[in-house]
Amino acid sequence: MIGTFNGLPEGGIITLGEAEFQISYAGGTDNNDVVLMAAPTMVVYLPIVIKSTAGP
Amino acid sequence: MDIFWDSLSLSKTGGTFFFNDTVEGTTLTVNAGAYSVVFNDGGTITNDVNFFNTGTIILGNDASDSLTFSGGLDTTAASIASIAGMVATTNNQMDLGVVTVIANSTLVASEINFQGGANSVDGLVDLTLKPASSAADITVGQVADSGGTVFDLTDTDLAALTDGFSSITIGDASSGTGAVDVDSSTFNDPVAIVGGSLSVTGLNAGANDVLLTARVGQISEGGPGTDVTGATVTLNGNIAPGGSPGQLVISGGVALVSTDIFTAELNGTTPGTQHDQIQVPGPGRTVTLNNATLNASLGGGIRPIRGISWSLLTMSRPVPA
Repeated sequence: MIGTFNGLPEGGIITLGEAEFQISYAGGTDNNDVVLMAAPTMVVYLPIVIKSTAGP
Repeated sequence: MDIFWDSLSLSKTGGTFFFNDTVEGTTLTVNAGAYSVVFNDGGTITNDVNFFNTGTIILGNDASDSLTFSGGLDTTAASIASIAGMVATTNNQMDLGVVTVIANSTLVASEINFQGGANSVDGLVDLTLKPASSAADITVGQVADSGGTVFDLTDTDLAALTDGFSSITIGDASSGTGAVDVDSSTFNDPVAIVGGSLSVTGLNAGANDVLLTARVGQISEGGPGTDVTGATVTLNGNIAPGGSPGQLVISGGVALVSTDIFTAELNGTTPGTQHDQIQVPGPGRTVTLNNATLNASLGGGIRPIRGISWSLLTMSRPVPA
């Protein structure tokens, strides 16, 4: 594989809809396929506050 | 001095008629007989010319000559027709027998039929076969002419092309907008095919280079199996392996050009049916991306989840049987 797609170096990000994908030019069993992979997404854990309004 | 006539009839026992300057004629009748006809310059003849002579026909001396047989041309009776430069009709048919192309030449017609049999057209130069109408659809490698306004180069026409041309170009490189349908077809020389859009399957140029150009539409696979075989296959235009997802299978090196757009639909994870893919099977292939544009899109309601991936261009597969 020689060269890359425009603006997409190895590991570059392409956005499809609301999702991001990473491009590799070294995919496949012979490490020479162009592959798009869903980019690892950041997981944010938010504290959950349970507020009870019920009386005793 | 130009040669003018309204109606001219040729008849001779042996020998040669020479037209050594530019011709401007309305009707030329070439009667049967064992004589030759030589056009050493260009010009235009308005009505259909059917050369019934059985000697030699020479249509031009060099690549700068331009002869137009507006109403059509038939040289099938001649022992050989020597062609140089532009030989054209005005959107009419051209029937040729045995032909030697002695300089870079372009044949222009609504339909070109090589009727001299296998290997009856030879030359060591560039030969362009061009539809008279830039909007005409083109078929390459069909069994028979499809009729209508389609510019057909059938299996018989292709078989007439003898190995040895520097290149063979099919289509209108400057303004062609018609759809080109390339079916199973064999070329012995470098080949360039150009049109508005291209659908291709089974094009085999062996160890010769192939250039496919879609000027306004897409380059797509035309069916299952290997679509193009060549030393280096250059794709010029908007590459969309399937009109809907498909696989464009190329046996040989692949070169994209910088203005290419690779349009990849991603509707699922199965290549060919759910997502587009260019497949370049076999070892030792080279693919040159050349900064082309990747235009991928999600469809089919697919939800991108972590770990999902698409192989858009693969060289990891074996050569299909």
